[in-house]
Amino acid sequence: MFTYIVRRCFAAIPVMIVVGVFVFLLIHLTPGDPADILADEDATPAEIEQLRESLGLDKPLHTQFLIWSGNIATGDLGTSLLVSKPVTTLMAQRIEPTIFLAITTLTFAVFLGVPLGVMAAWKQGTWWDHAIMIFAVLGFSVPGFWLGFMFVSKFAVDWTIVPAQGFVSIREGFGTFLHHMILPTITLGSSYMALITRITRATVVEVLKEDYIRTAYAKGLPPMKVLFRHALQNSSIPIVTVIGIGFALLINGVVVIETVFNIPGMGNLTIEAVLDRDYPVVQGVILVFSGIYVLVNLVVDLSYSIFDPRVRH
Amino acid sequence: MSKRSLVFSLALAMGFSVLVASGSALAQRIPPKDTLRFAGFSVKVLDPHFGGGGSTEFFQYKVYDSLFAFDENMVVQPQMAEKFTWNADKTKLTVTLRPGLKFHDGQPVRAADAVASLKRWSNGRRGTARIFKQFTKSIDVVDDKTLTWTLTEPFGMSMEVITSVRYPPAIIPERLAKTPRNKQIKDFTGSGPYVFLPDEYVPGKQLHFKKFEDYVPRSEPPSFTAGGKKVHVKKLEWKIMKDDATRVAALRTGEIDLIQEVPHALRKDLLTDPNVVLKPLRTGRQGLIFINHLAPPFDNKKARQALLWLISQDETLTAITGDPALYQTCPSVWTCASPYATDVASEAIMKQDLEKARQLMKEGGYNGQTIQVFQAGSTATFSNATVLAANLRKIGVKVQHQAMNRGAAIARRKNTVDPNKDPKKGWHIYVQATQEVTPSIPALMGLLQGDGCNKKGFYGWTCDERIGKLKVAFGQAKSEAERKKIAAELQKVVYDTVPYIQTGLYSNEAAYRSNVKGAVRAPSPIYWNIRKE
Repeated sequence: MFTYIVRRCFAAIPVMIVVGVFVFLLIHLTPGDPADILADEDATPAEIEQLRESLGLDKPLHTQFLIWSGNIATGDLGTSLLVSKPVTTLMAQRIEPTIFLAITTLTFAVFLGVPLGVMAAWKQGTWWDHAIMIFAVLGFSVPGFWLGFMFVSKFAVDWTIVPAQGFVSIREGFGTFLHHMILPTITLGSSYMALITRITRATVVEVLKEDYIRTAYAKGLPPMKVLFRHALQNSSIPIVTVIGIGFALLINGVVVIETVFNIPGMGNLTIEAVLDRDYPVVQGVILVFSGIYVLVNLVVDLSYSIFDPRVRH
Repeated sequence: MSKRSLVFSLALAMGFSVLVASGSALAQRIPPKDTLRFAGFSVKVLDPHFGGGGSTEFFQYKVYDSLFAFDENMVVQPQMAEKFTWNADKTKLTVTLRPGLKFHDGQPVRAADAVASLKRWSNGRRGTARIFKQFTKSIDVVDDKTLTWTLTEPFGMSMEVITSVRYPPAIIPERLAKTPRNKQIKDFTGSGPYVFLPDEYVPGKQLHFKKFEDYVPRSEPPSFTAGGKKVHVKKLEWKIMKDDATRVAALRTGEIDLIQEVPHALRKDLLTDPNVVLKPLRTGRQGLIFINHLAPPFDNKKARQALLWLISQDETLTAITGDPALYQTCPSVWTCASPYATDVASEAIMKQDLEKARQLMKEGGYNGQTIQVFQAGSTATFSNATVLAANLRKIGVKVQHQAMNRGAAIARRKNTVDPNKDPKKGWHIYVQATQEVTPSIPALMGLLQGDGCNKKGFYGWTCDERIGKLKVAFGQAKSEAERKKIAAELQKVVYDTVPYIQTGLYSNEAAYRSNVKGAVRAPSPIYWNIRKE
């Protein structure tokens, strides 16, 4: 197992290199640069050029890339060209809301999506199944930003039972934290939950047709035990895979939901940095997001051995 | 207790604790009475001499003070200065600082700090700073409280230049003012009415300030950026909220006290809310349509003049604001709030005539090419560009209108490539907006340049030496009457050569809770004199 983990970690390195090159080129080839943003509206072209030089943006692209990748190799993600703070500091200031939003969303989506999917499979063809599937299709189809604004309009502005925006750290109280996270979590988690529900249903429906399920029923096991111990456990690998893949969906959603609910997280930081052409921040944030994605998928792969002992052998 | 009962009890207890916590959370999200919490835009640059946009200026007004300031009549008033005198030939200004001025670190404000700050500011990239530097022979310290500014020659607008209606020269400690101009300062010690709290600063999230207890306000009532800057709250919290609808929702729930600017499209939600007041706290904006003088057909004056007849300020402003109370058509390129406002040569901009526009466009050499119109920024500039594009289509001109983010727009507007040959890179028309006060003093209007010959100079590349000469003449005029005459003459030139077209003034209101009182209108949002009841 240890060798496997080490091998997988090394396999992530080329992925990160490709991501790094791709992100670097993409952001540098986008029109506009930080000097344009920093300069005043009536700055002369010569003044903007001087500013570009002082920021090191006049150097050839390959030189800039070598400097950046050299710094990355030593763990230095660089310094924001606009706010003059290290990228790691900016990320440290913003990572907490995103991590907690991801955790609450993941919890919400898994704890609701899996039982709903199992229920739909168990009651296949009944109105339970149809209702759950309509719910799932809606969850997947309704855009997050629209859902977010509707929630804010009703629950925050009209009924004033939850805040309209913002993030409160869990250190300031679990209740206050949860209170601020309810709407963003449901908004962000709805499509993720829908995806998990659909996959769970499809997989469990297949497993319920297996001979060993019929045998379990024949042995006189209660339906819930058959459903959760035999059917769900044997359906786990595709479900866990989707949870891992869906993490990318979560990262995409974070960018929008953090804006709608004014959560000062990594998604917000990414948008600002892209609009401001703050190259080191964009590169740093995307690299970290990619790293997290690779890591999550590694954890998913490792979890296969828990659900299916055959993988261990 | 059975397992099922245990789970049920736990769930009930958890739900109850969340409900209890919700009550305290609801109370916690309302700002206390001695704290003013407002939703603002993001700020990138905190160094007041370095560069950056309107948010930098906004930050500056909280933390820094300046020697002089404009009152609401656009008259220069002393601010940090106690008194000032000119020598007989108006080439030397002597300024004495007010007693008791202190920086936030407790050190007294000295003339040496002011001199070093003026020098750093004049090396920056602001248009007014460039003029200051152009006319400066020296800036010297006389004693701890006195400094002198010696000019190379008399300049009638010198007080307006040293005051600067946008981005005034902030006075910072001498030790910080020695920082090179291309390097941002990292210590934001000022002498303004609020103290910046760096430990609570999270870029993109929030900036917090506390009242500067040792600040000595002037005795005069506040007027624009001049007068007494009295602070009535202990803490000022600037929360950065990017989404307009989120800001409006937060104001309605009382999570914030004030929104700097409400987009016109969201006013309706607030007009019916009895707990919210809508009022402009910032001078208006003016839409500007820049024309690329290098590319056909607008390399021909007639085609540019065709746009004057094409545009209807009324139509444009209605599209932007949707409410006549929020806009003002204006014949003057200096804006109607300017003391130099005039209606000379303004017939075309005030009277839309599509037939005449069609004729002039034809005479100007329009041959069916697609006109590239682009804009960035707010919905207001989008509406402005949309109305322009629609009118161009009405007279048979093909148009491609592109909306883009500010970074891409700034990169594109400096491109001199012919848009008829490379429509993805080049441009014909760029739509933007500027503050109402920016064009109010002709000599200091940085966006009005005639130095664009040979593809050099300011974007739009207007090549007309009369503009530069008249701006200098305006600055050197001996009397107000002479200045007004030159302003009218310069307006004639602007309407003849058409470097850009102003599309009228519009306001964005601020929205605040009804318990917020005493807000003062200014070119940039300023939150002194403001209090919560």
